[in-house]
Amino acid sequence: MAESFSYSLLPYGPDAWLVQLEDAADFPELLKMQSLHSEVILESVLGYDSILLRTNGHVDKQTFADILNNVGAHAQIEPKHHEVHVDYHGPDLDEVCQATGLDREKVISLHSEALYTVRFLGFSPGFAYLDGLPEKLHLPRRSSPRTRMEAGAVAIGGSHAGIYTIPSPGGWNWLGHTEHPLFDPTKEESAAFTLRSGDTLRFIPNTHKS
Amino acid sequence: MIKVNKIGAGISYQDHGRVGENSWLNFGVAPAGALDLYSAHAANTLVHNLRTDAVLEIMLGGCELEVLQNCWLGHAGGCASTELPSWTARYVAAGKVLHFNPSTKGVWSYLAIAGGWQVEKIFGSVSRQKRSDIGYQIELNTLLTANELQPSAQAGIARRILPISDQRDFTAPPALRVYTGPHKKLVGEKIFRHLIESTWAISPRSDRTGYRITGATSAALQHSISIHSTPTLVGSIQLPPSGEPIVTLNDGPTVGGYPIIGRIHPDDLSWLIQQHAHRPITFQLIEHDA
Repeated sequence: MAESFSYSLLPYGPDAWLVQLEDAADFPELLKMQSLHSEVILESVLGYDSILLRTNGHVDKQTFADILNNVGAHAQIEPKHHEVHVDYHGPDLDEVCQATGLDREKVISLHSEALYTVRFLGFSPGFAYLDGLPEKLHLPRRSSPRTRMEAGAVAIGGSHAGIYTIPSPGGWNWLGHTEHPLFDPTKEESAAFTLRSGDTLRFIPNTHKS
Repeated sequence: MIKVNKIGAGISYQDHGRVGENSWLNFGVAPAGALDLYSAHAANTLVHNLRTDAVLEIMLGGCELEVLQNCWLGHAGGCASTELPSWTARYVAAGKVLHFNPSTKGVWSYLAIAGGWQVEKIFGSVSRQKRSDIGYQIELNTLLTANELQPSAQAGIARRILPISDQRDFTAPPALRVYTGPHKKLVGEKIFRHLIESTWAISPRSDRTGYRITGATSAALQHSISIHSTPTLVGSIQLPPSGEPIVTLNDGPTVGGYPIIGRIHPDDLSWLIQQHAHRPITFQLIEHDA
């Protein structure tokens, strides 16, 4: 599986290696590596253009490279598609209009017409970094982060869209709110999480007039 | 059964956290768990528990606990208690009130009860993670209960003390062992040598999410290298552009946007986290066959 794309193996302590892509566009290869679990590879954690592989004790670089070359990926989890309904009344909507020079309707249509892919989960439980945000909406984070973004806050930051799953401080631009369940710790294990890396997602504007 | 009369700076249930088979790192769940596993294990060992049993993690001090039923309690870590000194276990009679006070010896203490604390596991662990509101939250007047007590090997004994050689003097930490991190090459040998060869101090801006370290040489570690979000581990040393490193800890975010230039050996985190603000720490590099 190593023939089709280039990566470096970077050291990460006594029980882990970081697989770092040379070209971030090869990300689908990292999705496959999530299923490389064996008696040697105990755990995988995705980043934007890297994946952390935790090993059962120390494995030297050459041995680990051989393992990656020789072990095929097992069955992948079928990606799911999610439709997430949004009330576009977020506190940063006007600022986003100013920064982009677009009116509200255009911002909302750009944001909701795009098809997103879950790049990876991180930052907080079930928080998905979504690829696919139209370039016109690529904005820097707020110069001073909000001390509290609510669970269900639909927001954009840099080249990503995302949805806050728990109340937390955050620097992303807050466009709207969704009731879509994303993280429920009362549910058993993986059922607690709605989104998986590789899933696709579209935002659907709620149509009721304010 | 024990009643929480005063919380003090902070108390929470912790165990090994959401790691190994219980890990949900790939879903963004921080591992949580006892910051100082060495002391947590010692507290459990003192009362003949399993190392993985739940302990009560006590921050800094100010905590007051009232014992409502006779029980065996083990205490290890940095806080002071006249009723139950660190690195000892005692059979404590109902009615006794235990105080845990700030001490120059360390920052965190661990209290174990024979049989283990009875508390619900979420994602395979009892560990409280405040930022995500996962795990049981202890409040004022909460009643802390033990699991059904097994026949104790300590019948007839009133007190146990951990061998003196196993009691850690956190005021004299060794140089912390550091592994090369994934972005060491990216930031360059010069910056990395500064990290390893400098004397650092714990910043007051430190908590269960991470310890920041500052030093006179931090200007020499300033950089303008950016990376994409990369998975972090407990003990990851991230280097923000300011040149003041952050050691990711148990409640920290699962990905980070700063170069990860090193990782502290898991066994040495105990020494780091027990250091009060402004205390000096040093590192030593573990050569790796990379």
